Parts: sequence; structure tokens; C-alpha cells
Amino acid sequence: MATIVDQPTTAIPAPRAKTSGGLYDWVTTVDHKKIAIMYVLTSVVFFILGGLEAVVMRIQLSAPENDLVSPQTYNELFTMHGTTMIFLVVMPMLLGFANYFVPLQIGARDMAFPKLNAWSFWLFLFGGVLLYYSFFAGAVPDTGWFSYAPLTEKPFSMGQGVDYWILALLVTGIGSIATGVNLIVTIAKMRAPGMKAMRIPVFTWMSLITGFLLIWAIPSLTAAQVMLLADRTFGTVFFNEAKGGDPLLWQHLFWFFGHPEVYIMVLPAFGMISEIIPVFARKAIFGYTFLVGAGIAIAFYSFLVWAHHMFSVGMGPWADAFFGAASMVIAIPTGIKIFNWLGTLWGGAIRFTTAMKFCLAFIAMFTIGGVTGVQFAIVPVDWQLTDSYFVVAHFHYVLFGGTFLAMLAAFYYWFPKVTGRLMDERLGNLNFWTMFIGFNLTFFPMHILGLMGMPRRVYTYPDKPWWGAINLLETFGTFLIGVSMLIFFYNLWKSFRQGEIAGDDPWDAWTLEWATTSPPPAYNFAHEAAVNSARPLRDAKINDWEIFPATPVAPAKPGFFDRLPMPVLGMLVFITSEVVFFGGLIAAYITFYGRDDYPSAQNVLEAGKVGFFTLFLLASSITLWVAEQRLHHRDNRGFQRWMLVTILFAVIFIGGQLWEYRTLYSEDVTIDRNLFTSTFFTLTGFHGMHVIAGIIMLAIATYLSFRGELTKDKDTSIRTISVYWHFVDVVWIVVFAVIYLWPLID
Amino acid sequence: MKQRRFGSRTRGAFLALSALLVLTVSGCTPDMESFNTVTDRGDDVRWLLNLSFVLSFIVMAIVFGILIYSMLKFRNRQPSEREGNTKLEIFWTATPAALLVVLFIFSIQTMNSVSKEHDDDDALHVVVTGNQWWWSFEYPELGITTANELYVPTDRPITLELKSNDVVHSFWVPQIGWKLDMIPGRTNEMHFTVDTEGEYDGACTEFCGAQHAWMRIKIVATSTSDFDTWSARESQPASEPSSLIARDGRDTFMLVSCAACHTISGTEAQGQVGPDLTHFGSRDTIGGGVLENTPENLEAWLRDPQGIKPGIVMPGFDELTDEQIAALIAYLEGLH
Repeated sequence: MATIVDQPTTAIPAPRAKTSGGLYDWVTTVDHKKIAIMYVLTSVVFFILGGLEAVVMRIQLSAPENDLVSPQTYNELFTMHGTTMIFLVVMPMLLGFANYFVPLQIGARDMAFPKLNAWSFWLFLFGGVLLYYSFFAGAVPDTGWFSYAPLTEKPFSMGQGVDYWILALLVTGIGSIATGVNLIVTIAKMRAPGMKAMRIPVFTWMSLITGFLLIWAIPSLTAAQVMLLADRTFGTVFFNEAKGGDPLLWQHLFWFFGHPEVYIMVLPAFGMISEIIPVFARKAIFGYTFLVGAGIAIAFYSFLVWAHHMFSVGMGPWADAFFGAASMVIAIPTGIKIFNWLGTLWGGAIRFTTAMKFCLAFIAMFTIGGVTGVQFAIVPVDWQLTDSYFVVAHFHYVLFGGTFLAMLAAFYYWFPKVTGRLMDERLGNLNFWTMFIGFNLTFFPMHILGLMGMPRRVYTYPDKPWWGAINLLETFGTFLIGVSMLIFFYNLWKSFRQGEIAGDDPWDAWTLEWATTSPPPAYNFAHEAAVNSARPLRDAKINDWEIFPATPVAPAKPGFFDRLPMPVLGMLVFITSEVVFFGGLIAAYITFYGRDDYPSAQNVLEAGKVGFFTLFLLASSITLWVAEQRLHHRDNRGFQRWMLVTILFAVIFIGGQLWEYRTLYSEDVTIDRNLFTSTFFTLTGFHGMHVIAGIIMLAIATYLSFRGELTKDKDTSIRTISVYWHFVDVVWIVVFAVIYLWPLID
Repeated sequence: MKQRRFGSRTRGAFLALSALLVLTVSGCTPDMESFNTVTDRGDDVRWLLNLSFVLSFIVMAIVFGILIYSMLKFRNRQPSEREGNTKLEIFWTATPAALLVVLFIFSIQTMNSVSKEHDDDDALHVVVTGNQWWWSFEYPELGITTANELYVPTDRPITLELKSNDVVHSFWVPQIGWKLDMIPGRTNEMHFTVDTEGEYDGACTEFCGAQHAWMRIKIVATSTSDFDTWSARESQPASEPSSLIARDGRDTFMLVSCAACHTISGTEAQGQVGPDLTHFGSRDTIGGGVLENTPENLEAWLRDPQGIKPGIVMPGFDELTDEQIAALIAYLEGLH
């Protein structure tokens, strides 16, 4: 086997790589590898909690009319099981793997924004703790992981369970959006020289696409949750049908998030499979371009299919037909991926390591989940089978048989890189077979139960023929899954302590993470890498390609991304997610426009007065621009003066908004009056909060300038803030037009 | 060591496949109501369902076949250097696309045939209202209000107007062929004609709170003449209690607040919170399907409904004397 170029030991000695420090080190770390390990280990803990919830549910369901747990407890269990597995297990575990391996695969030292990365992790942890604190508070969410209104509204849910659900997910959601921004900027800007788009490893590609899904899907959930929280806390009427609100608005906003969410949960898994299969089939991934293209197509279409979760709602034939067609279309790129994985196996030289076994099982299980998914795209079939155990089978096949098996494969594949030791293959074999059998025993019969008429989310069921027997069989399967996971955890523990030493590249693999030590030093690579293909290590081993050339390779002519500083690119990326958030609020406003007599946009707004204050906000964009010009001319005093004017104008705008609110409230036009007040105050209120956040940022920038830390040569912060500020102004232009100008022309 | 004909991986693969096959075949044995539709429109849905299964099994067979073949054949050899094949990519993009177009056309046809309104005006209208956690069925043309058990005549077009009084529910009886949600503030319509007499089970299929599991439905489809008999009886006000104890039961009913929630037509009980009990005696179940309608079960229900169906609104009447309970049971079971 060819050797990789040794990292030179002369010249400046490499810093002493400490890969594990004390508690303080872990708590304060911004190293992507440590953060990733924390993500994964925390998700494992939540997996155990979510798994225990499932075990109790399955024991309760093992016999008809069982009374192991009360209906209330059962409803809490299935709500927490779904919420935990989706938000606290699958997403953070996948993002943990991405966090660890994306920088390594692209030859980078860390993520683009290490502190933001750490913040994302702590938000995830605190959000998860908040959700589980609900057990101690005696207010566990019990309305399902998708929390349909009006069940989640008062008076149907009077306890605080729903509030815990909302707040915990708002917290984790912000962290996830930040991770999305981080992934996108990292992959856009930190790739090793030579790593053009079509040489990026598939896992990194899928992580990039997932980053976009995160930033554009989660804000829709955020908007919906904000509205639900407002309904429950401030008496707004977004989803309150008695007062003109619309329960379906919740469903649309939720599923606009919910469908891309499932692709967030599956695309990185597709990426893992696409890394592992080639290595253990000793053959390049088949159809790389088509795999990447299919990933992009899936992500694009995922935003067009959300209402296939609502076929039985009665949206009407045109909507049903559109979403049915789009949902069928999305099956095609998914099929392309499966065929490309098969094409990779075909003609290869398969090594049946545990990782490979999980990959092969993934293909089979995901195919089953995939075909039932296509069945659901057939609208009348959906009408028969949705909300039954058939759909429970479907999504467990794609998420558990699919994504989770892919993650197990990724553990076996990448554990050596993270810890320096191989996992035990004999235990791995046992882990695999118990999981394969247990999983199918648990979930395959659910297809049958669904066809037999068993609805989902039921704490018990009548003693109809076969229902009890099939449910009991499924419960046995659950225990086998539990045994499998115990074997897995034991394997992790045992291998960590006494596994065979792995070395840099135990699998004879081809991507850059294998070109450094196991585990990698804190700085990942001692020298900058340069690549010549999608399989740089293969080039090194076969063609004597120098991965770490003695003279660093000059990067190609700087493109658009290269000229943008990372924080500016990050802010540009972030504001696209804000477009979705405000879009949700504006959509609610427009949906409910004109449905109220009084108060309404036509009779309580003062467009002239607000227009006056709007001029100040718009002027503040101009003064900010002037300030930046002064900075470029090294006129720091001028910069500071114009910044203060900008801040003053913004404060005047906020003052005007507060005056408007006060006037309205004095006329008893309060937020909880009707649809207009609900949407008006929420939309303008959130915009105002964004302005205030901007004022704080502008003030900090001005302060930095006073301290001499913000100059023409150190201007990244103000460039970043100005992107945000101009965006907030553009949002106001849209909001002003929709709220204040529209009634004038109506 | 003796050389075995099949390596351990081959045997493993065979075992896995057999297990899956056994599961599938064994699963086919029990009666699956989704495949036993009793309406024309449901038959259309079933046809599409069958087609979707056939296509799914074909895809699975192809994928599993290639997978297993690869696992058996492509080991211990020199791997090929092939990295792609554009013609193949086009083939396996275009073929599924073509199949899906065909499937989509069939699906649109069935969507239309399932949702269209009845041709003639002969349809029997039933207003179905979902409540947490029971169903009310009103037949405006016949002046009937009943609960939880939906009687319909066969061979007559039926239109269900689906509404909700509180949260989102969903009306699913698999043998009808499909489901439709009930959204507060909206009315959704289901149109069908039942072609076979029988009793058909169903349930609420949108999680609606604590007792979603026991919001069950029973459709009883009878011949037109039997239905006419039923509806003639059902549209009458409550029958006079035939015994002394039943008359005591009626008095007790009015006395102890049952009338605040329940309606018994022809009496002063006109409550709207719970199911209409005018013809309770002729119903098969109590409490949305949780109990069979027998005197023993009714007693347990009256004494402690919360113990049987925790979370519902109905309070318990355990503080009544045994005589009062017995009287109530006699009265209610006599309401045929």
C-alpha cells in the first residue's frame, strides 16, 4: 500500500496536540471536533430517553385494552418520543458528524465560525434540557410532535406542556439555523486549493445542501410557533377558528418546515452511505455528478411538496393534484441515488465490514420506505392510509431503517478516525443482525396493521382479530432493537478503551480526513492540502500526488465568494432565513386581510404618521452607507458621526412605532382583538425587535470605532452589520407597503 | 475444515430474505379491511392501492435482486474502474418518470371519481359532527339525531357532511375506502354508496386529545326496508318507560343532571354536551366504542366513566344508590 507523504518534523514544531482536556476545556471549546463529539454524545443520551419512551409505548400496545400507562401518559410519551428523536437525536447526530468531518474532508482547520458553532451546540443542549424539564414541571407536551391547532390552543390544552414544546424548539431551532449558516460558509470558502465543486466529497455536498434546507425550513416552524405562543399567551387568534382564525394556517406553516425537515434528516445520511460504500466496494462512487444533482433536486422539490401531509384535509382537487404530482417527481432523484449506490456495488470488490453491512441494509430498508412513500404520493391511496400505522411504518423505514442505520454505519466507519481505535467487528456483526431482525420485526407488521385499519397515536385498541398478536410481535422486535443498541454501546465503550489501534487510514480510503492522524491534531492538518480529484488519497497512493505540497498551491483567481469576508457571507446567508420567517408572518397577514370590520387596516392605521417615521428608517440606510464611505476614506471621526446619526434615526423610528402602539392601545385596539390586530402587532413587533437588535449592533460598532478597533483595515464587522441593517430596511419597505399602503389602494 | 457450498454471507443473505418473505406472506393472511371495500368509489381506491403495491413489489424485487446478486458475486475480485454511465442514468431517470406519469393520471381519475358529488338528488344526507370524543349523526331529512353508530341503507347514495365542534378530527372507515378530516369552521363532504350489507368499523384518525383512541365509529349498512324500519323508530321521540323501575329511572335521569348534557327527545332533557340518548337501548356500544352495551357495562360506566375513559367530560354517579343506578339502567336500556 502506498504511503502518504509524512508530515515534516523539522522546521517549526507542531503545537502539542491535546485532544482531550478537562471539563473546562470541553465547556469552553470552539474546536469543531470536540463540539461534534459533544453533539453526538448528547444525542446518544437523548436517543436512550426517546428509546425508553418507545419501549414503554410498545409494552402498553402489546395487548389490546392494556392499562400499563394512562392515556395521558401515553400521549405524552408519543409526543416526546417523536420530538426527541427528530430534534434531539437525528438532527444533532447528523450535524455532529457533519461538524466533525466536513472541515476535515475539505482540508480546513475548523468551521468558518467556531464560536457560533459552540453556541449552536449549547443551544441544542439547553433546548433539550428545557423540553425534558417539562417532566419535572409536571407539564409534559402531549399533543403530538406536530402539535396541530386547535388542539394545542386554549381551552383544549390548558397546561404548559405545549409551551415547553414551543420554547424548547425555538431555542434549538435558532442553533440549527446557525449551524446551517456555518456549514454553508465553511464549504463555500474553506476548501483546499484544487477542490472544485465536482471534487467535493459527497458527504460534504449533502451537508452543504442540508445547510440550505436548515436555514430555509426552520424559520417557517419558528413563525408558526411564535404565532401559537402568541395565541396561548397574548390571546391572538391566528388558529382560533371561533374568532376567524384558521387551523389550517398552522398545518401549512408547519409542513412547509416539516417536509424539508425530513430531507434534512436524510440527505446527510445519503452522504454517509456515498462515502462508505465506495471504500468497502473498492470502487469510486458511481455517477457522482448525478448523485450531487439528485441531492440538489431533492432539496429544491422538498419545498414544493409540503401539503402532501394534508391530502385528507380537503384542500380541493387543484391543490391535491399539484402536491401529488410534485411528490411523485421527488421520487425520481431519490431513485437515481439508489441506483447509483447499486451501480457502485456492481463490479466492485465488496468487503463485508460492519459499516458495509449497515449500508447494504440501508439500501434495502430505505427502498421499502421509499416505495411506501411513493404510495402516499398517490392521493387516493393517501386518503385511505394516512394517519394509520401504515404511515408509522413508512417513516420508521426511512428514518430508522434509513438514516439511523446510516449513522450506525458512519459510527463504525469513522470511529477509528475520532478515537484512533477500531470498533470490534464481532460485536459489530452481532449488533447488525440483532438490529436488522429487530427493526423489521417491529416495523414491517405495522404496514399490515395500517391496512387493517389501526389508526396512529392511540394509547390502546379494541380486541380485533390479529391486532393483539401483531402488536405483541412488534413489541418483541422492540426488545431486540434494545438488545442491539446495548451491544452497540458496549462496543463503543469497549473499543474506546481497548480497541485495535487504527492508524491514519485503516480502511485504505480516499478522502482527506484519512490523510491526518487518528485522532487528528487540534489543527487538523499541519500543512495546507491541495487536491487534484475527488479522491485525493487515491491520487497520492497510485499517482504519487502530493497532498501536502512543500510550497503551498496558489489558489485560483479569486472568485465572488473569495472576495467576501466570511462574516459578510454568513450574514448574507442568514438573512435569507429571515426572509422565510418574515414571509410566514406576512403570509398570515395577507391570508387574514380584509376579514375584520373593526379594527382593521382600513380604519385604525395612520399611514401618514408612520410614513413619516419610515423616512427616518430609510434615511438611516443612507447615513449608514455614508458612514461606511467615511470609513473607507480613513475618516474615523466622520464614520463615528454618521453612525451616531444612523442610530439616532433608528431610535426615532422605534419611537414612532412605540407612539403608534400606544395610540392604538389607548383606543382599545389591542393585540387580541381580532385577526388584524393579531397579525399586525406580531409582524410589526418582530420587525421592531429586529430594528432594536440592529441598533445594539450599530452601537457596538460605533463603540469599537471609538476604541480604534474598527478602521478601514478592520471593517469586517461593520460590513456584516450593514448587510443586516439594509435587509431590515427592505423588510420594512415590504411590510409598510402591505400593511399601510395596500388599504389605500384597496 | 469441510468446504461449505455456500459461504456464511450467502447463508446470511438467504436467511434474511426468507425471514422477510415469511413476514410478508404471514402478513397477507389476516383480513385487511383496506382491501375489502364495500363502495364503488372505495373499489376505485382499492384498485389503485393494489396497483401501487404491485409496482412497489416490482421495485423492491429489482433493488433487492441487484443487491443480493452483488453481495454474492462481487467479492474477492479486481474491482472495475467504471465511475458512471450516462445512458444508464438517463434510463433510470426516464423509466420511473414515465411510470409515475401513468400512476399520476390514474390517481387523478380516482381522485375525481371519489370526490365528485352524487349525480341524482336522491342522496341521503347525514351531518357528522366530531366532538371530543364521540360522533353525532344527524339526518336532517329524517329528523333523526343519534351518536357513534351510523346507520345507512345500501344501494342509496349517501352524503356525509363532516364538521367539528372543537378540534381537528378525521372520519375513517377503511371499508368505505378513504378518509376525510373534520376541521372546525369548515364542512367537508364524503359521497358514497354502500353495496353490501354489514357492519363496518372505523375510528377517528386525527389525534384529537386524551381519548382519541376511543372515538370509534361503526357503520351499519342495511337493506332499504330494514333502514326504513330503523329510521321510523329512530325518528320517534323516546318510548314511554314500560315498567315502574324504568319510570323511576326517567325521574332519576332528569333529577341528577344527566339532562344538562344529554338529549332524550320528547322529554325535558335537551342537553347538547354529550351524545343523544333517545334510542340508546338499541346501540351496540357505550362511550364511543369503549364498552359493549350491556347492563353490567352500563353500570360500570355510570358509576365511573372516568375510570374507563379517563379525560372525558362526563362525571361519575357512584354516589347514587344502587336502586337509582338500577332504575337508570332499566330506563336507558329500554330506550329502543
